[in-house]
Amino acid sequence: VPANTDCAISPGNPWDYWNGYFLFNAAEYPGAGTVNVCEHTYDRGNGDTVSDRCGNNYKSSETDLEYYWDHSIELSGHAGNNSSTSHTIDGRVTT
Amino acid sequence: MKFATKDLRTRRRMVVAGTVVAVVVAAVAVLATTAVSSRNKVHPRRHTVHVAQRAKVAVASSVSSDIASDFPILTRTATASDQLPPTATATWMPEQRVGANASLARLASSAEGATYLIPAQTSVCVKNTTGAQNFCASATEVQAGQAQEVIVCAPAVPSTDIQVSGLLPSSATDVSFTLTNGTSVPVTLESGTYAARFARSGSLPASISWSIAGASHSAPIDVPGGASSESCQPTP
Repeated sequence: VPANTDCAISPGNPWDYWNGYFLFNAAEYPGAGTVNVCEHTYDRGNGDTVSDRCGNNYKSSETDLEYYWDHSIELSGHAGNNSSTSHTIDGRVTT
Repeated sequence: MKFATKDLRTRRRMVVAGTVVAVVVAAVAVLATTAVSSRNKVHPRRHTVHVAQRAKVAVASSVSSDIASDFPILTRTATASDQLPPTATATWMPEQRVGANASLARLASSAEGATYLIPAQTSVCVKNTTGAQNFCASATEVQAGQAQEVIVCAPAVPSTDIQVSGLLPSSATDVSFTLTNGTSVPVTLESGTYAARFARSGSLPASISWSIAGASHSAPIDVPGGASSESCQPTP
């Protein structure tokens, strides 16, 4: 992921359905050292951000998505690189 | 996978310990031909992904010496107030990755909900009952000022604000943020924890500084570049 950007964590393939209903979204830097990452979750209905949390190496949405899960509201999970250099960042969606 | 409205809570209980789908985002080599979303828009997704699983870490049975050194509160005798409410641990799955043990928790602050320090295998976690603080950090990160969580948007934080929270060794003094406009803002440290909110439209924190035993330290605060213009969903 380029510096200071985020990516959708689903590529429009069979995993696409995860870009819909989920309870947790997380971003993780899998390498050595410290990289600041952000999980970033949008409401697919209006594009507003539901949860955007940043921290070093790992960050999850914690309980932020419970309301949306309970009410079957479609979300879009992203994983972000909040550092000034390019890195691979893992995105993780959990139901 | 779509879920019917009916029985969602039951379904959640069934699946919350279940499937974790992990996807690796965007190898740098393919980024030249892929679409990267801006921070405020949902764009088509074109990244290579695969599934991965992460094993749970065994729950910590005691407080590690380096964590205890930074947070002596973790070694005092437990009281009734140290017990996390069941609602705070029911959906605490993310911290299973570091082996956090809620039975070793100590209440660190009662400001805006309750904030607990929770020992893990090689780290310490912070959990606030409002959901406004949830993170874990190693002793090395704590001592370097890198034990931070920046919330740009979350239901527990007003949509007009961002929140910066973190941990420093509880012996730290003279703690303050330096904002992007150069202003210094004092920080209250409670058993090593801190949390502060800033209007999204104003100057945001750029760094935090502190002293320990007369030595001055500082660390950057990694507020994302688009935080000022983020369109956050109001608390539902």
